[in-house]
Amino acid sequence: MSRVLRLENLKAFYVLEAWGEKKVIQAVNNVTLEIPSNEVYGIAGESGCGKSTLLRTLFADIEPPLYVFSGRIHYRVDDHDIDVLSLKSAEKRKLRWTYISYIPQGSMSVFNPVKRIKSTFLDFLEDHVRGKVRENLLSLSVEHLRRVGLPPNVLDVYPHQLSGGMRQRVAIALATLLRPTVILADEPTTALDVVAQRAVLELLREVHHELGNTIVLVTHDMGIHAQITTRMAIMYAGRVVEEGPTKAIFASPLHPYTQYLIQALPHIGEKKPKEGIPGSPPSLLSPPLGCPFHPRCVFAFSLCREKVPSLEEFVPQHKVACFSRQRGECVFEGEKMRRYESKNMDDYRERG
Amino acid sequence: MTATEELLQIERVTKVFTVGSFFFKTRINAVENVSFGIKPAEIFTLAGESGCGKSTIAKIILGFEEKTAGEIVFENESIAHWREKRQLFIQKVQAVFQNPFESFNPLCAVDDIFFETVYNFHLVQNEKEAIPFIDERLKAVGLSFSEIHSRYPSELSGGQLQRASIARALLTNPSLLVADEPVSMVDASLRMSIVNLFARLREEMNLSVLYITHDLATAYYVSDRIAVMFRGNIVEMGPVEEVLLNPRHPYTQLLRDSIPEANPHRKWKGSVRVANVEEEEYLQKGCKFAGRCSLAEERCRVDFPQETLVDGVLVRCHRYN
Repeated sequence: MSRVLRLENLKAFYVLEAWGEKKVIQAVNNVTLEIPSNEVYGIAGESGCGKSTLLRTLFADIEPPLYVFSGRIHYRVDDHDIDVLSLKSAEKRKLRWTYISYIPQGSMSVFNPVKRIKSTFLDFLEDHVRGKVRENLLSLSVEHLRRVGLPPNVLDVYPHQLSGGMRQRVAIALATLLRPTVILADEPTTALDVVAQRAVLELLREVHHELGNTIVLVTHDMGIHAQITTRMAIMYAGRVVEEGPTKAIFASPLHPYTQYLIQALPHIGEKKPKEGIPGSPPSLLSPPLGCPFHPRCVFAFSLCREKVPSLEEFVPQHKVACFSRQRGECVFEGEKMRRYESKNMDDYRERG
Repeated sequence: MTATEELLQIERVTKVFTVGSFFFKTRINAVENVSFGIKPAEIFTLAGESGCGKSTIAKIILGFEEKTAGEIVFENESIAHWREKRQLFIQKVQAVFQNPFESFNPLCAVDDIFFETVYNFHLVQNEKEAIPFIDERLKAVGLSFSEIHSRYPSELSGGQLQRASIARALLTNPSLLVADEPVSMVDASLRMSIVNLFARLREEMNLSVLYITHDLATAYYVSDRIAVMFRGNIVEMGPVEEVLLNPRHPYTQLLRDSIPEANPHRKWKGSVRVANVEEEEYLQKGCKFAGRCSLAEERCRVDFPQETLVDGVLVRCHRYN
């Protein structure tokens, strides 16, 4: 399996200094992650678990107060690994939008409110495409908009005239204009209602099929992950606690946190009582010693309070960072587990 | 005014907003002839996409927004009468808002607003009585006074703060809670605890809840009846099982099919159409959904459909007339 992005033991912390007091927010804490090519890769987790910061580090957009304390970020460009942190900003700039692009959260604040959409597109193209005249660039945008199913007349309107769903689709069109290999999307649908959300996600999926590229999708909504991602990572308190194929994670979550998260999802047509996870997520200012989930975990034992579990492969392709799982203790019913293992193996054989 | 069994009755309420500049004014019916009732100890969901007028209704009920036409009856008395005894009205009707970080003053400790509420409503005489009183309500939502005492909103998590804002609403012993998107800012792992809380408060305190949301899955989980709104109109209303398991209006069907179901084996089929410009849909003649409806006929674009009762569900669609 080829990969496009790789993080190695990355520690990216926010350092805040106020009145001589130093605060360190451990937003991305020792994350090792490989993002394969040609996948819709999901990153799930609650607000404040560091998932947006992880995406920022993937985009190599590291500016104070965010500092990288250790680790590496690699992009795979033309079969070579590039260590992004060692690049100069001009070189990073060259990779942006052509190799890696970014769809931000609120499309309202992305476009200049006093300029027509057209001028945003032109600004963008004039900066990144050399040796073409204005008319050519404009026809390029029109063609691209048509390809993603948007009427070309959106170029002539102001951002506020578009509905939220349309605006987010235009933002996606802008991010995919130069056919990047990797698209990072940070909660692209949070401000949208369900119908517009579905349209935006379908567009992302179409773009993925057409370009055969990788989309990294950050959202807290497990339903979205189930619908469009093929592989996903679960983050908790700055760490990746589980990583694997989406189907396997939903069929049999390995980490107790993921188990809770999936159990608690309401479904239409089901009224049986469901419980939220007791307690609340830890602060990233002072995460608990040991496994960050241990204060809320029913399976926690002494080792969990002392050491941080590392992310290890538990079944092929499916990794988990949990001591009790690795010791084989936090098992749901044995029957379900056996079924899961045999089923998962079939899935992998299919995928080759 | 005839006595009804409804706690709150909304009768043909309309709200018109004028948009545009001085010369190019457009009148938009944000809420158009909306009627529904909430029974005592009932959880009633008002669902729909953003900009469908559901929050406007909440604002009209709470008195933050003036209605253009129509009548609202609370406990068999018109809202106009309640205006004269506003204090009593707010005591009986309390609100919970979307973003708990905005509902609390960031410069005041969280418990300040609790004390303010109990003194303003003369619920207690002094601080000695106030603390156990507040503590009792906080316990009902799974918090305690010591947890919020002299803590600032930024020191609490979103879920804790949202539960605190529900506890604050409960201080006055209300009979109706207007909850405007109470879980959309709350994390998935804590969302169910808020929704479960509404169900428990209904059991224990006979509280009615107007639950405004776009999350149909939690609506199904917790509520008794649901009204689905589209561009200012209720397009379908009835028991939640009927409406969500067997949607009749094409818009409800679209809404149901668009929920990202948390099951990777059941993915979306086909594709959906979105509105380009919201204003156009509001101003559309006939059925406002006609522009996006795959079943739309000629009459849908001309005549505004009337409400029809189909198996106990009110549907506003020409196909059922």
